[in-house]
Amino acid sequence: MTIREISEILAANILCGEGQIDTEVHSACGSDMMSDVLAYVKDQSILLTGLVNPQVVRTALMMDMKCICFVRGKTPDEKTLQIAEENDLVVMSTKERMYSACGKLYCKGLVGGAE
Amino acid sequence: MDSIVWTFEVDGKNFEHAGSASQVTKARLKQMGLPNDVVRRVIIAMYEGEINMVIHADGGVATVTVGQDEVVVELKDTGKGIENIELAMKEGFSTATGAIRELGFGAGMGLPNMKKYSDEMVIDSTVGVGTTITMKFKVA
Amino acid sequence: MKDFRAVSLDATKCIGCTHCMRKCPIGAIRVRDGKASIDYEKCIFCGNCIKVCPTHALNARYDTYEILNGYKFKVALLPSCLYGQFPHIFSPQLVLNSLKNIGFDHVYEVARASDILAIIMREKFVMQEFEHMPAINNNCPACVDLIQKRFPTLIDNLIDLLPPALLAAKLAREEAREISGLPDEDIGVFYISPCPAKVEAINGGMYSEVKELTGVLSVAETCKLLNPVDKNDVERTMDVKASNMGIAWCTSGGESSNFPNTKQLAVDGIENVISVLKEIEDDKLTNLDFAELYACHGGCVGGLLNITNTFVAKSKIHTLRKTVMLNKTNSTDKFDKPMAYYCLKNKPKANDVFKLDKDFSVAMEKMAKIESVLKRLPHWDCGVCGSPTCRAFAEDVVNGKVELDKCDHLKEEK
Repeated sequence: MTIREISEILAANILCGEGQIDTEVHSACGSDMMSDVLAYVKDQSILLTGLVNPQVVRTALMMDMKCICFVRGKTPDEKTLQIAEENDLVVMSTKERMYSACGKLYCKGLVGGAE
Repeated sequence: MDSIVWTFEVDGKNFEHAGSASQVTKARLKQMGLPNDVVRRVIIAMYEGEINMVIHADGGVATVTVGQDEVVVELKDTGKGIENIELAMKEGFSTATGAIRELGFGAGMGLPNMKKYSDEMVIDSTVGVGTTITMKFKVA
Repeated sequence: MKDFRAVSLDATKCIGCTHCMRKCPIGAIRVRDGKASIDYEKCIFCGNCIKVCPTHALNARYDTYEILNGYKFKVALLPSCLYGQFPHIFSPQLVLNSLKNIGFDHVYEVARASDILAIIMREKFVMQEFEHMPAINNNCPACVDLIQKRFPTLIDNLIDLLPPALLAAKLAREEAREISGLPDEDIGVFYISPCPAKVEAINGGMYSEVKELTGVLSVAETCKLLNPVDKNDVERTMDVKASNMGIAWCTSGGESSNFPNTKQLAVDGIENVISVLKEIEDDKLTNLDFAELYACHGGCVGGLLNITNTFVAKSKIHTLRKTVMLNKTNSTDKFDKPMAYYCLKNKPKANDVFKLDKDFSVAMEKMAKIESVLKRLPHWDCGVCGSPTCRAFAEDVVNGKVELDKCDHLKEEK
């Protein structure tokens, strides 16, 4: 699934990294606990979270993720977006809640990364 | 014994050996038991100075004097001299050539760094005659 | 403290050839009256000298398997490099099972500890908790020792977490207590070491804060005893728990691969480590997040006590990482203990064995004398005097360890 398809499924706004929007992602992770995200290395992954701070971006970068989707319409501040922009990370924001956002992506065939 | 003096010939336009005087100085200062932060400051500043001598002045002579409460590094060259010292002290100002920049030097941080890491720095430069930079480091 | 050092010299076999002295990266060896001697205050136990000794006077020492006899429940700490020792055996399970066939009741993979440490370190990178950048790994005790002795300015850059072998020892003993129900004195936990540096760290002090370790065996001795082609092994249940990220720590660059998108540098080989540490010390490597250092070429698979060629072992580990035999994601173990459990209680301290004198004035006088002696020496570093360089010889003369007339060049002058 490409990041573009994900943004369409979730009716999300792209906040930065538009140039990378056709990147393929193979797995997803939905969590507000950054420690849990750090525990599993995934391949070409997207992070869904309700947490908005610079650590989220650094966590996604640490785990080599391609995209972050903020749920419940949240948007990060300029500084956070800037770190993402500098590192070619796609950031989007959706009105969906965490549970339904994950559910919609799962139904369309994007499964989790960890067995 | 009040002090000990080392002199090094700095070979100009020879990047393979650039920095060797500060490396030797570092090993000796460490052996003599100077505090780590002093050794660190002396070496970073001296290295910058040594590189400057290679880039701009075809080498020169570096003299290190270690006393009971200070280390003095004097870098003396007979190069083209610095036209505008105030401008040269500005971060990012550089007259280095493209070839030098490709080696990762010439970012215009040399003199500002030397000033930053030393406790006292005096630049004595005459265009066409040469430059002598004296840096003092207090041993607390 | 055991009664042996991890690098031992048998003077009866020594022919005074100076090979070891020339190969010592830290100048800890002298040859006097035709025999080599090691200054254990300076030695970092990298094992370079053992590799070049033509008469096998220098040897690596470790516990023998007899040590297992004193314990009712025996636990092996399996280092990942052991998986690399059998290039023709595909399954890590076979290696693990065959350890049970040679007398261990339980096997704990060190990579499981590495998996936990990887998560903690990722969190530290994200939260920007490393104060001194670059953070330097502490998995190689020879490099830690080198920093303590030669690069004390970088002592705070060393990460303060337990090295994998030590965390593994703590966790393995907990598991063993639970499985066996025996008291601690009946449980023996044994690390299988790929190098003399780890043997010395465990026996000689650096790792002494962890009491969970009972002894330290060698990979070589273990390989001789193992017979991993036993068909019966295949029947056993699968209990390999390490992840493909965890086992990578035994090769250079493997630990770094756990931290994508950090600015990292993996350096192997003690001479390369020294040159990179010099650059870090001089502030020449800026914006670096993580430096991974190994004294042996290739990382722990290059350790002296391995039996398989470093490159073959490394390639085997790389193949293994890509297979489905291992847990692909990460730790299957919980890490739910207070952070202090995973940290070193005693942080490494500077150990200035190379200082000329405690007193600065005395040191200055000695330095002046060294330089006046040095002026008379040829600067050939021929080593005939029994010191590795002319400078080292001058130091030895000033420190009263050798007579000036031991220099052949000066004799000729007369």
